[in-house]
Parts: sequence; C-alpha cells; structure tokens
Amino acid sequence: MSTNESEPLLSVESLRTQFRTENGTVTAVDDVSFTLKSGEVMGIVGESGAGKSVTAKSIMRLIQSPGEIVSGSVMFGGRDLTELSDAEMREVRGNQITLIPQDPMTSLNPVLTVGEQIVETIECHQDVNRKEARKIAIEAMKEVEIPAPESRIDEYPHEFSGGMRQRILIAIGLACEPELIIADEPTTALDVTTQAKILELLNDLRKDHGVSILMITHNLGVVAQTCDRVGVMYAGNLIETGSVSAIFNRPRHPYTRALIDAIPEVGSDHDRLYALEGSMPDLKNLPDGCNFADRCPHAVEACQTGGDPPLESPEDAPEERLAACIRKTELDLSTPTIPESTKRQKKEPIEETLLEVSGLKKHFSSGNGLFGNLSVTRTDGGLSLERRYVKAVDGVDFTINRGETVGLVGESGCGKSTVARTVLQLLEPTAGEVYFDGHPLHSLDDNEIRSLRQEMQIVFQDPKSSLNPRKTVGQIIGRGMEKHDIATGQEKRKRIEELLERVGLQSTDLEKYPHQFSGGQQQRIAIASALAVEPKLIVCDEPVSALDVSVQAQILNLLDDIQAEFGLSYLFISHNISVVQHICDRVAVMYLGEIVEFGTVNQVFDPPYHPYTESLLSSVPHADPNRRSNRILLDGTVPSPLNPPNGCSFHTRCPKKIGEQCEKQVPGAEQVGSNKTHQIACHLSEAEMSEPVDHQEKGT
Amino acid sequence: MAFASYLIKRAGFTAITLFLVTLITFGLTNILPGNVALLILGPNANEVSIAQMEAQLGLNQPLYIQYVDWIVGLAQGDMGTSLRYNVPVAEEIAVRLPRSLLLAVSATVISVALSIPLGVLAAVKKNTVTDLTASMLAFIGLSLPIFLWGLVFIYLFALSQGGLPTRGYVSPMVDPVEAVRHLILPATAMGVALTAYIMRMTRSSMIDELSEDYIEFARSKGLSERAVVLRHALKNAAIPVITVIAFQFSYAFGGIVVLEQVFSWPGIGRLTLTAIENRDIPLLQGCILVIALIYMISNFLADTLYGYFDPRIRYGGSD
Amino acid sequence: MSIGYFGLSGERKSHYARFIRQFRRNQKAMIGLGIVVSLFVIAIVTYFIPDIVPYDPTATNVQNREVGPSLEHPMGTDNIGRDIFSRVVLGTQISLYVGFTSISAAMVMGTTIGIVAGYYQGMIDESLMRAMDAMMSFPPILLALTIVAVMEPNLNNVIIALALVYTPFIARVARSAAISVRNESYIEAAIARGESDRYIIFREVLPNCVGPLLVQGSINIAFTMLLEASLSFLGLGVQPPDPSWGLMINSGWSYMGDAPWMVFFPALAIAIAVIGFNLLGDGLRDVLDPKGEIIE
Repeated sequence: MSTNESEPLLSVESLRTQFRTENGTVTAVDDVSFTLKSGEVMGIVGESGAGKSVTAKSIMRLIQSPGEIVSGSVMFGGRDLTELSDAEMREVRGNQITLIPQDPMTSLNPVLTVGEQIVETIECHQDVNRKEARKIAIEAMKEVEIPAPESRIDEYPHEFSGGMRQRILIAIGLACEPELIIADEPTTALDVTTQAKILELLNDLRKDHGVSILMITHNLGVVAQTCDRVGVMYAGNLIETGSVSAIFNRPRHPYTRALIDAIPEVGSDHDRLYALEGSMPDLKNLPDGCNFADRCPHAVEACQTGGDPPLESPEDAPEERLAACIRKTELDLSTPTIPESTKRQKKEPIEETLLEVSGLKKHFSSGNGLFGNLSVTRTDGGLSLERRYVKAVDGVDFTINRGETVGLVGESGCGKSTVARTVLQLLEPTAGEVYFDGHPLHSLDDNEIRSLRQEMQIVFQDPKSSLNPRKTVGQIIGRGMEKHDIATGQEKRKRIEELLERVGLQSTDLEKYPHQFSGGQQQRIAIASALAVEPKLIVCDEPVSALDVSVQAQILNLLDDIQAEFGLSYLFISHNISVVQHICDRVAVMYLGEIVEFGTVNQVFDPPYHPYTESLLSSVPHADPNRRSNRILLDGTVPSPLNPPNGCSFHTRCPKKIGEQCEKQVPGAEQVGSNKTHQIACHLSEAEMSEPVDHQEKGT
Repeated sequence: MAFASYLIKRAGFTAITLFLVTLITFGLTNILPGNVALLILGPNANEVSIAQMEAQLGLNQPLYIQYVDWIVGLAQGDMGTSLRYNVPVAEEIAVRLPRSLLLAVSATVISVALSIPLGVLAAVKKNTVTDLTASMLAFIGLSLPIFLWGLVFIYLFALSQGGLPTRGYVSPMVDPVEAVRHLILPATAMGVALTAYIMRMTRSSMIDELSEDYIEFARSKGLSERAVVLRHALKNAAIPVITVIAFQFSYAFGGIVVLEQVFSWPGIGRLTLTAIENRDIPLLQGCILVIALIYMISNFLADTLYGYFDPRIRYGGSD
Repeated sequence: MSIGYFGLSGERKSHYARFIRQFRRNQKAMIGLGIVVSLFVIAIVTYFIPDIVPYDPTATNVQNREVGPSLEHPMGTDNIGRDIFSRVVLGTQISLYVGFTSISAAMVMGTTIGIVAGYYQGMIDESLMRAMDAMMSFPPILLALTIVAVMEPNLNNVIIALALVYTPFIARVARSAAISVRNESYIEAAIARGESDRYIIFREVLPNCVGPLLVQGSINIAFTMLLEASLSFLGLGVQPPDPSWGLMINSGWSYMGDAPWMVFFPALAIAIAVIGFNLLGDGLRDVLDPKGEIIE
C-alpha cells in the first residue's frame, strides 16, 4: 500500500477488453488509460454501451468467457492486477477493492440472511472467528445507517426496501475497509429521494474513511454533485478526463458538450433541447477515424481518418486535463450549443377541456388467484381471514385541455402508471368519473369504449416490449389505420411512409422487423403507431426513461414537434422531474395514490410549496457543479399501499408535520392564493409552506 | 403467518383438484364397456340373474347416486369390494401399496443420488467434455421406456449369471437381505430411467442460477468458486429441483404399473392391470385413486418444502 | 387480411432466415433433425413402395424361426419365422403415425386451453388449470391404460388416449407462454387500439407462443413413443399383426434367453427414435426458448 500522496492509487494503462460473439469481435474497452489518487472520487460517465461497466469489471477481473482482457495493465498497490493468479486476485476482491453493484434487488442472494452475506466476506478475508465477524458486520450496518442492526442482521433481503438493500451492499463493500470502492450505477435503480440519501451517505463515508471511489454512472447530475474528477466514455474510448468543474465549465470534447446540453435542467427556460442525431456506432463495426465523427457538429475531414484521436492534454490546459479530439485546443465549448430551430413555439393554450378526471380510484386485490388476496392474520380473537387490497390510486382529480401537456410526476409506486391505465380504461376503475371529450367513459359499455379508443393512445416505457416482434413495422403502424377505417391499400401505405419520415425514420423501414432497430428508433415507431389513428390524446408512460440521455433529447423534441403540428394533448408520466418540467404545461405531483399538488409547472416548482414537492425537487442532482443540491432528506420509506396511513398519507415522513391534525384528517385540495389553477393538499398555510426546512435533520 | 397462509392456500387448491380427480376416476371407470355382472356370473347366465346381480352390486342406480355412495364410503375408508375376488378393496391395496412404495422410494433415492451431483457438475462445467458426457449419459437414460430398462437389466444379469433374483418380492420384515436382493434390479432399472429427467432439470436450474446477479456479486467479494457454487447457487437451484423430484416420484408410479409386470413384483401396479383385465370396477377405482392421491400428496409435500426453503415464502414480508 | 398485400419480400423472411441460421449452427438440433427426417423417409417410402422391404412382415416361416442375425436376415427372425428387420422398418410407420397424430391433436386442444387460460386469467384460468392439474395427477401410463381399456384397444383409440393424456402438458406450456406474452406492452397497445379479444389472441399472442410449443411438441412425441411401446407391451396398445415395436417386445420377451435379438432390435429402434425427437426438441429450445419454460 502506497503512502506517497502523489503516487496514484489506481493506474489503468491502455486497457483493452474484447468479447467474441458469433458476429465478430466486440472491443468494449479500447485502449483506456486513467489514474485515480488516494481519497479521490472519480466518475466514469457515458451512455449505455460506452464501456464503463466493462471497464469496472475488467479492473476487478470479473470478465468471463467469451470476454477477456486482451492487453493493458491495471496497477494497484504496486502490482499489475492483470497478471495476478486467480487466488491472488480473490484476495484483492472484496478486500482491497470492492464492488457495489447496480441492482440492489437482484444482487443479494434471497435465500441467505443479510448477516450471512456480510459475514462471509469478512471471514473470507480477515482472520477473525464467527463472533467477531458478526460484530464487525453489525458495525458496518450501523455505519450505513440501517436501524436496529442487531436484530435485522438475521433477516432476509426481501424484508428490506430497495434503498435499505443498497445500504447493505455498501456495508458489504466497506466491511473489510478497502482502499478503493467501485460503485457501478449505485443509484440508478432507486427513486430520486432514496438516491439523494444514498449519495449523502457515500459522501459522508468518503469523508470519514478516506476511501477512494470510482463511480460509474450515466447520470451527469450525480457526477456533478459527488465527484472530484470525471472521465467520459464513448464507444469504448475514454474521450475526456479532468476535474468536474473544469469539464462542466469548459468541456474540450464535442461529445461532452452535447451530453451536457441534452439534459433538461430544472429551473432553466423551456428551450428546445439540443439533440445529437443518430446514436452510438455498433461496436462490431467502428468507423475509421474518430468514433464520434459521424455525429459531431464540429467534425472536419481529418476527423474521419487516422484512427482514434489520442487522449492528450490541449495546449492551453494543465496536464491532468485530457481530451481525445484533434480540435481540442481550438474549439471553445464553454457555452451551450444553441439548437438550430429557435425557441420552442409557445402554443396558444386552448381553454377547452378534453379530459376530466374526478375521484378516480383503483384498488387491486393483493396476491393472485382465487385465494390470493386472503391472508391469515392474528387478531385479538385468534386467527382471521381477510381480503387485502392495494390502494394504488385513491381519489385523483385533474383535467387536460386541448393541445396541452399535463404531467404526472412521482416516485415508483405512487400510482401514476395506474392512473394512466385507468383513465384509458385499460383497467377498470374502482370508483370515480372520467369524461373524455364529453363522453363519460366510466359508464360506457365495452363496445362504445372501443369506438372511442381511436382518440386516445398510449406510448410505453419499454420500446422493445411495445412492438410485436413478429410483425413488420408497416404492419404495426398500419393495423390501426385499417381497424378504424382510416385508410387501406395504397393510401395506407403512403400514410405509413409519411409517418415514418415524420418521426425521423426512413420510408423503406416499413418492411423491417422491430429487432432490427435501436431503442430510440423503436420508440419512434411506437410513436408513429400511436399517431396513425389520429388521436386527440396520447398518454406517454415514462416514454424516455429507458433511453440514453442523448436519445432522450431527440424523442422529447419529436414529441414537442408533433404536438405543435397535430394539436395533440399529452398526459406525460414520469419520475424524472427535469423532463417533466421541460415538456409539461401543468403538472400533478403524486404520492401514495393521491395528488398532493397540481398547477402549472411554474406554480408547482418555482417555488415549491407542498413539503413533498419541496423534498422531491431538492433531491434532483443538478448537472452543474456550481449548484450544490441542498437535499431535504425524508425519514423512513414510502408506506405500503396495502396499508396507507390515516389522515395525510405523507405525514409519516413529512419534515413539516404539524401534529395530530396531519395524522387524523385527510387534507383536501385547496386553492393557493388567487390562482384557481394551483391546488395543494396540505394542512399547512401558505406562509408555513414557504419556510425553509432545517437541513441539518438527516433522514434514515 | 405468511407460511401458514401459503400452506392453507395450497391445501385449498389441492382439495379442489382432489375433487376433480375423484370425478375423473369415477367417470372413466364407469364407462368401461362390458357388463360386470355378466363377467362374474359367466357367459351362460340368464337375464334374471344378471338383473339380480346388478341390483346386488348397486349398478342399476343412477350414476350420481353411485358416485355419492362411493365418496361417502371413501370418507369412511371403505373402497368397496372387489368384484372378482370378493375382498375389500381397501385391504388389498393396503397390502400391496407398501411394496410399491418401497420400490418407488428406492428408485427415487437411487436416481436422486446419481442425478443431482451429475447435474451440478454438468452445469458448472457447461459446454465442456464433462458436460457433454454427463448429458449424453442422461440422454440414454430417457431413451427407453422404464419397462425396457427392466428387461435390459434382467438380460444383463441373466447373461452374467448374476445371481440376483429377477422376479418376485420378499418382505423386509421377513428377511431383510433377501428383500434387498430382490429389490436391486427393479429399483436400479427404474432409477436409471428417472435419473435423466432429474439430472437435466438440475443442470438447467443450476445454469440459470449461475447467471444471476447475486452470483456475480458473490464472486466480486472474493469468494472461492466452490463457496459460490455450493453455498449460493445450489441452495437456490434446489428449489425447483424439489418440484421435479416430486413429479418424478409420481412418474415412477406410472412406470411401476409395467415394471411390476416385468419383475412379477406384487404391488399396486400389477393389481391395477388385473383390475383392468377383469373389468373389476371397484378395485380399479380404488387403485387409480390411490395412485393419484400419492401424486397429490407428494406434490403438496414438495410445495411445503419449497415454501420452507424459500425465505420469501416462509417469512413473507415486504417485496 | 392485409398481410398478403406486401407479398413475401426479402425483409419479411428475415425472421425465418435468422431462425434457420441459428438452427443450422446447433449440433443437437441438426442431429435430431437428421434422425427424425430419416425416420420419416423410411416410413413414407415403405408406405408407398411396400415391396422395398425384403420380406413381408407378416409372412411366417416356421422352419426359419429364431434364427440369429445373418446376411439374409440382418436382424434375425422371430419365434414364428417373421423377418425382424422388415417388421422393425414397418414399425416406423406406426410409431410416427401414432406420435404425430396424437401430439397434433394434443397441440390443438392444449394450445386452445392454455392460451385461453393464460390470456383471460381469473376464474377461467383457475378452473381450466385445476382440470388440467387433475388430469396430470394420474401417471400418464395409467391414464392411457384406463382410457384404452375403456374403449377397445386398437390403433385409433391409442391415439385418442395419448392425445388426451398429453393435452395438459401442452396446455401448461401454452399458458405460461401466453402469460409472459400477455405482459408485453404490445398487447396493451392492441387493447388500446380497440382490438377484439379474438384478434389479440390469434394475431398477437399465438404467433409469439410458437417457440415453446414447438419444443414441447417435439419432446412430447418422444414421450408418446415410450408410452405406446409400454401399452403395446401390455397388450393394450396396437394389436397384432401390426408390427409395433412395443408389440414385438411383447412377443419377444419370453424368448429373450434364446433369441435376444427379438427384443434388442425393436428396443434399439425405440431408443433411436426417442433420442432423435429429444435432440430435436433440445436443439429447438436452444434456438427458440433459451429462457426455458418447458416441462420435461
């Protein structure tokens, strides 16, 4: 172990990792070099397929056939990790370098207790007996702020929430006091508020222990808020490195600039997003010259030839600042790129109501099958059998006008997806009324609803799953036209071709199958398919959540354009506040099946009133290192919808809870001030809501 | 409490299935052609005596009444009387069933002892020579019907003057050594045939397990491959394998029907065949029902074990 | 409807092309296919040109009985002088006929039940599946035996019995495939388009369930061969003089000491056929259904 401050802790040099597939060799990590100093937090950022995860796994030598590390070295503690034997490497793993994996739901073995999984790491690497190992494990659990660790250590993973499980993974990572922690997308699978808590935790741990962290993520906001230095990866290459502030203030590589531009920032103007065309090249078929040249707005002829540009320091920058671009010195990328079309056309809001939802409820019976929702519980009189219901949506009111975009934002489990499906009558409402264009959907029979279906369509989160793999694109888009007698034969074919071009694909694509397209292209097909029947309303259920940031920007712009052209209304569902803020006109914030606040985007977010909205907003990691997030952390976790709290459903976690009133009385939706459109469900007065929360209070 | 909930639900399902099984059993056996009374009395019987016999046997009543009578009888442990042998069906079955159970259990034990290690080995060494050999061996096991394996073993032992008896049965209570000697050939024959399925299931279950995220995480902690496979993967893989073993046990009873014929093993399988030949309805009903019951019981046991070993079911809790 | 409009273009074939390419690469599948195709060829050729077989399979020649394998009788003769080779070859016809017909019938019934159960779920699913469970509580051979005994033992009834016995297995696979397809978003999209249930089941769900069904079908044909052999061995399957392999073992069993070839060759034929279909099924599974929803 090196105690010399200037000697890097980890030094990766010219690492190359390849995978043999039946269609050729894929170079997932191509000649990557970087260093990490002791106590430093470095982020490796990039979109999916860029090679960041593979880099992390290569460092830990977790790559298995058909992949292998072909060349390069990984210097750690004076040794080259690529040259160690299996047994020697096993001593390093979990001990000096630990991994915090991406998905807390699947990374813990469900049949072993949490304690067993922490203890086995300790016993494996340290010379202690079972009892001592257990003590160390409990200490580790205390460090990551898991309550009552002495008793919870014998529980199984499924008895913990997602955020708790992530903490357990971190505890395992810390147990042997490593020098380096590699965190592979540690917060991607978590909600924004939980993410905030985990990031705080990581920050504290790093301060207390002085451990170095290599943070793999696709989220620039996370990087801006937690890392000291960052490396950007694209198509297997490391294309830029430098300190976080340097990179954000003046990126040297056009891709980095584009990445920063593509993120909708909370609080910025509703400008059109700058979106790169196309997508990352196929790793089996990389171009000559710079891999980014095809998409680069600053590319010149020399970029197309001559192999990958070397990662070097621009002439007017310090040594640690590196970029792989032949134009790095001449380009000044310190200001955001202005997209070609000017500011998004502000459409004239039409005051005509298209959709009106009131008192909507949807309760599911928990469990499956005949006896599914029965459960045996202990009561005072012995055992009893009762039916349990999941109250996914419990009384929701909102409206959507023609040509407007209304957003439904909230964390997972709040019921927003259920609202979408119930409104469209894909699920039968338990109670409540839905009026679409004057028609009372809740009281129509199946046939009548079917004929109205043409007017309301839906775009889903997973583009791959929304297209029937056995149909061609033409068949998928054309089916709706036939079904609703819009067009047949030649006319239909013409319309399909037009639609394809409208969404940014080619008219010849109609003969291809979905699997031949990328995720972003598949989503375009799904949008075209929704447009084909000429609807008035499109429900967008997390339409960009499964896509990379640069592709996300393309799709959001597309949705914008289509709305302007066809006068559509959108019900836009998302957990991503920045996206919602960018694209929506009005927004509703949901928590545990209820709407806690509803109004225009400015009214709700700027400034936030409801305590939950406030907390939600503060948890978003800004992709701007100069704006430090002032996170309001919430106590505990979201209660189960099987058993929502009495009174205000948020009272168990509310930092501004008044007292008994919140526990007993359900707050109704009340107007704020003179604005008819802004409604909040909270017992606090307007003045009380505006008071800042004491940020010293930390959540669990 | 979660476990109790789970068990009660499974019991409920089993009860419904049981009801349907009795319906099917009754339905099937009563469509048998041929007049039972005629069979008993002989071809020369006249119509009057036939009618009398039918009345005596309760065959002239409407079907649903016959069904209810039968069910009521079952509840009291009475399965009727064999038409051919004039002994209570329940007694006959009670004598024969343990012999078949002995055979089925031995065969299952043999096959589990062979197939699980083979399956784990094949999974861990996926796509290597070891895997291919083990898989091929398993393949051969399932390429012949169970009775044919019986014949193969008989032949092999007859050829080599093996000295193991190829027919008959000796009760372990009477003479344990002889009992085992008589058991070896039939149990091994059936064991070999069953091995194939269990081995393949174990292999595919382990392969699925080994590709799970928590396996990779376990490796990243620096655990030895042995610890990863045995402590992490096997425990999870065992769960679906338990289900297969239960299913195979039932399948063994199917094989027993023919195998007992080959080895002259006086168990419930032979009894069933005799019942079919003789159109002996009560006996046939009893045999089929008992065999189906064994399947359902072993399935329920499997479900119970499944729930016991999977903490998500045993302890319930959030998810 | 509109499918035919675009005709069979090059792109349309890409699904099948991809399938065939992967199939070709899979050794198991190719060997299995080879065996199955050979069996078919034998069966078809001997059906249309019966004279190609060296001896009349029913021709007895008591002088020549129990002769071991020789040049004239490559598989020997049985206890009444019939040429075993010819009988084994002809047995191919019967085995394939029984296997294919019964499983085709089981596929039709099982797929209908399974997909309806999987798509609608709820009470329909529960009741259908309880019925299937009840049928599966009986070991297949027991059920088949009883059914065949209930009707008269002959070739067609054997087919009916086998079809009934294996329907629940197919139904289970169809149901689980239907359930996983049902959870895909394109089904919701179809509902949102206003499609009728019939359209969704036939045009969206069914085509995507084909993979696991093909695999299970192939494996089940192997099962039927085993089962048919067992039934015939007991005298409750195919009846003489039709040369079913199981029947040949039935008659040959008692002569095993003197003329083991009477049992050996039909047994070998069974083994080859069963292995062939199993390999084919396994290979298909590797290509079509790597997730593995199949029951053995």
